[in-house]
Amino acid sequence: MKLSESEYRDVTQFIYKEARFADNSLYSEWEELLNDDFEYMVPIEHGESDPTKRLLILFDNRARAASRVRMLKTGVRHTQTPPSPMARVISNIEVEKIAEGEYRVYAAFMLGELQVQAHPNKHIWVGRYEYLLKEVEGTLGMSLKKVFLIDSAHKIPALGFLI
Amino acid sequence: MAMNYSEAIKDGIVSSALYADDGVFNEEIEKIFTQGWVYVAHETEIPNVGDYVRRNIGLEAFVVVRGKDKKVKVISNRCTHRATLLVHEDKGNLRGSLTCWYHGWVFGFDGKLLNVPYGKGSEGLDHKCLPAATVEIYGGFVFATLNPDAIPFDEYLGNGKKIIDRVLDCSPSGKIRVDTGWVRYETQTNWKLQIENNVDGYHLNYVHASLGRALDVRYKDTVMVSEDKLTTEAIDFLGGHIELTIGAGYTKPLEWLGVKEGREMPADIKEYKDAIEEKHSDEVAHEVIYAGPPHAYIFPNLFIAETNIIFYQMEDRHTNVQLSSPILFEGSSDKLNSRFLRLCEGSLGPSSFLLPDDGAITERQSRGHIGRPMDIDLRRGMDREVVGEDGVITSHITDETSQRAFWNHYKTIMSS
Ligand code: FES
Ligand SMILES: [Fe+2]
Repeated sequence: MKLSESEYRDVTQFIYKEARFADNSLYSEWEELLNDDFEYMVPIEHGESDPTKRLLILFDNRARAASRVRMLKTGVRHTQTPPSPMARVISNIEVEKIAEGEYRVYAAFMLGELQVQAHPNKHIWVGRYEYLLKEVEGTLGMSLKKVFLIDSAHKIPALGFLI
Repeated sequence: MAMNYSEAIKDGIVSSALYADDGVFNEEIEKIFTQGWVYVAHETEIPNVGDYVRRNIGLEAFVVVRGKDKKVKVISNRCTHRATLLVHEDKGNLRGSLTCWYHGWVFGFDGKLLNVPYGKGSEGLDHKCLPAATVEIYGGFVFATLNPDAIPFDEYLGNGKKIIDRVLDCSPSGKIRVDTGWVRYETQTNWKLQIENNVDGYHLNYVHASLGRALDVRYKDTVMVSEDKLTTEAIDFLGGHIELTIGAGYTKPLEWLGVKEGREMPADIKEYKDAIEEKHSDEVAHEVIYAGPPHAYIFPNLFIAETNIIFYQMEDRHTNVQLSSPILFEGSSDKLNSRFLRLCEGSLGPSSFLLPDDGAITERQSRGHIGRPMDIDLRRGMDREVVGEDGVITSHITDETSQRAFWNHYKTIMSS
């Protein structure tokens, strides 16, 4: 479907805002961007892989995402106490309009994280994002965020923040 | 300076140098991981002839492969010519043989050297076959040793067999699968800290405080109530094998599967319950339905975390990788088995609700080991342990009986 300039702008603005909330550990603000059918996935395998048959690193439905946020907000989620200072750069954004008010988005990212919970250590996360954004009652929200880490099948450190 | 293990581990006190010393680490690799038995894989990871997974024994590269005779082999992944890795991917299928991409030496799945290109120049030379480990399998769990004179497998596994039996009891078919992939979580910690933590029944209220505060979790009644209300226990099964009977705290059927009181049991779980009741005596069925699979450690590198498996691959003294994967029941419905996938993601791995908090705390602990050696105090509950006729030691779940169980066995091996 044809995507208008203003739709492209709204979608990319949404993606940057979501990234800013995540980078700054603004958990409530982040959660407000989620639609009821939200799914959050960090797969191990990058090809077509059925999550009812294969293990993922992270797979939250909306309820589990809510629990994740609640835990982070207790202030005693040690893996993110204090929250890691972070900044991510998102680029190579492609937007596909799949229905009225529905967009699939592909992007690449690099995320620098300073792990400050035990011995300060910088870690660079690299990968691709895939989003499904849907307008619900006139407001754009996130229905899917899939994170393909380049090292998902290899060892990775704690991933307690919102990636 | 060589470590004096009988001095460093004594009366429930261990020296912090045991986690922080490179010499100790190298000695562990030799005495525990090279001379002893270690867990390497689950059979169901390599169902077909030629299927392989890469695994380390200690720090050394091995291949676990299904041979042409359908038997599991554990062979060196180092070409006997000049040490090049023969397989470099984590898993896959080998067609017929292993060929080294450096000069083309070819080996069979049993390690036999089959061909050397330009063979004339090799005439009269005793080029070597790939060293193979001795392999034993129990309940699909594959163990190996590089020591031809290792203690007999049965003696090594000891009470660990009962732990594995109880895992298999939970499957209506008596068989399990561990073939849905591994999550690999790296911590900057000595490997022994992860083991101490996994068998620690004392830390839940603090390390997992965020879980307790934010969620209505099944762990709450079994490990997060006051000391005298806890009915669960820590067990030293000897031989370094340890259990926390977390499941004994469950009072309702299939709580371990997430069934909540007052809610209707989902059809797939009901079907599972029926199958278990059908298969087992009342007593065993009750145990499965209420307690579920064990929370137990099998020395030196396998941990059965209820419906999951964890095993450890260390890289050096302060870098440890925990690989986790769910236990699925062979023959059970996809619906039921997918629950185990989601339980695994929820509790283990770097983004789960449990393990990264353990990771953060043990990384802080690791930092504490730097500096002058200090006493690590593991004496909690020493006076209230009960020793059974078979020597098995039982105590309150919060007691450091479980850590002492590890260290006692460790000491025996390391001082030999
Ligand atoms: S190193 Fe393998 S063939 Fe030469
Ligand atoms: Fe823990």
